[in-house]
Amino acid sequence: MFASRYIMTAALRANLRDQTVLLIAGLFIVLVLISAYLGWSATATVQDVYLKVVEAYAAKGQIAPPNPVPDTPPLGLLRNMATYVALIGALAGLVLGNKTVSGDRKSGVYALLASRPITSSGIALGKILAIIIAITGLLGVAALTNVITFMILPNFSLSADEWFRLAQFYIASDLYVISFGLLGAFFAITSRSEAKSLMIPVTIWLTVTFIIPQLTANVLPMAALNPLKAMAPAPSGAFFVFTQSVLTPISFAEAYRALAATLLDFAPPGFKFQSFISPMLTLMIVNGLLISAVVVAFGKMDASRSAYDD
Amino acid sequence: MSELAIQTKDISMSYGDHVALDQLTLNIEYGEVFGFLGHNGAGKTTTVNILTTLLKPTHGKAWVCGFDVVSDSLNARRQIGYVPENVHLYEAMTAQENLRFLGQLSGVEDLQKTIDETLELLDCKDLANRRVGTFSKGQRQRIGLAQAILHRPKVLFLDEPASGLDPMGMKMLRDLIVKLNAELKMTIFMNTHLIGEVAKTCTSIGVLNQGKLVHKDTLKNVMDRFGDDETLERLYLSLNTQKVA
Repeated sequence: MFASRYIMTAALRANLRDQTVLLIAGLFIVLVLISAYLGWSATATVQDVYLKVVEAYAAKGQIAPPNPVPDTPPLGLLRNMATYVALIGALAGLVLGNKTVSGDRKSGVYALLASRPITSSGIALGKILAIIIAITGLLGVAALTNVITFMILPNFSLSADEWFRLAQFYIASDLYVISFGLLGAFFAITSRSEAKSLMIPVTIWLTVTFIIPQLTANVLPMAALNPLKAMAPAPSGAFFVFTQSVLTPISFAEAYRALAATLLDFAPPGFKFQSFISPMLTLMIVNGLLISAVVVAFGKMDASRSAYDD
Repeated sequence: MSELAIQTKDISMSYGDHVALDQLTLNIEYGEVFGFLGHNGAGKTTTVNILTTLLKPTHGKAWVCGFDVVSDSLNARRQIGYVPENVHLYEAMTAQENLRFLGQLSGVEDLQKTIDETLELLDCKDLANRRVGTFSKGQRQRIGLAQAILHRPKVLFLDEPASGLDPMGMKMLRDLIVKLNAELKMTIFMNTHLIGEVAKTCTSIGVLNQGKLVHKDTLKNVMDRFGDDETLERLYLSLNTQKVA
């Protein structure tokens, strides 16, 4: 366990010095900040306009219609966050997970690590913890930004239940991004080529995010990008009925989107995710499988030929 | 404690049809500086990879300080230091940061003091706070050696340590090997194809040819057996073309 802690610390330090990781993590944070600013700005504008309307009505001796801002579900303002997490957040996690392992292989240090009195599962544990901590830190900054936004937004005070659901949303987002981090790490361990170690998980990310949701028809093709169109009824037809029943339980991206939509109040009325497994359970199962895969992959890695071919 | 620092019994390693190592049996006593000679591809690095627990042999058994390198690999690793042919370290870290990390993994106590002593021993304290990415081959080799001896292993494995070094670097390395053997009582297993280095530093030699050990003896016996006028280089070339009992 102590040795794993040292592996974890070194991996985190290396990530902090990796420009690619910093760039993509920075991009995610910038998008979160922009999202928070847009939410604040849009709400403040509506509020200002409403106050002017009230003044105008009052000048005419009329009663103004009710303020629409308090009727808006406050958590729904964060719908863009679900999109950013599914796109740039997942990609950031994937790159971070890949770099956490590929750095050692690329530099050829792995042979020195493997000749130390530490097991391969100890090395794997250190790397996995580093990935989890780095991604949780990244999502933590996003969560803090949202909390501050809600505290300064006029007319948007969250109830205890809403704060709880916001926390659940970030736990789900953390699990979602970590799974891509683990996917990046897995291919960084098992690939002989550094280029392939990144290309394969990126292809999987594209498939999970865009292709499978089209086949299951739980969400329409644009749903991963546009939450407004999400969770539309599935098109009728034998093909979609079949693909929906087969692919929905393993449609990881949709499980996350469904969970996010439910927690953040942007799901259409009466929406129900078409799977016998709950979305949160799907996220947990995927993470559990990927953690096992990373540990096994480290165990099977040939430490004497750990450097990449390219 | 085992009487032998290194022992192998019929170890073989195959990659598909290619036999990299063929039933190697080797006994090396504590305190020896063993030079393992052989052409490129003879199986020297495969042997070191097995003895440093990086690779599992397809057949046979091997022990370092009495610990089985497969079934008791963690204890075997505690006894060894390893310097690969090309020393790879974290380029973005300083020498000290690299040593600290690798020393922590080896469970070195009083780490800072040990790092200082090791850098002093290897006469490279000036490298401590420089980034490894800026090092020359010789400087990198020294820090590679420092990381391998931080935990004061009983057995030190060097894989082609003089590869790519200039004459000055080679002399420094030779002096260091002698010093480590004499002062820290380390048994040293050195892969090389540089005959001159073997003659100047080793106490015994083994010659490997196409995965088979074709000769093993003390350096003195080898020199006596083949006569004073025979150069070690001629001996090496002749040993590689014949089986010597």
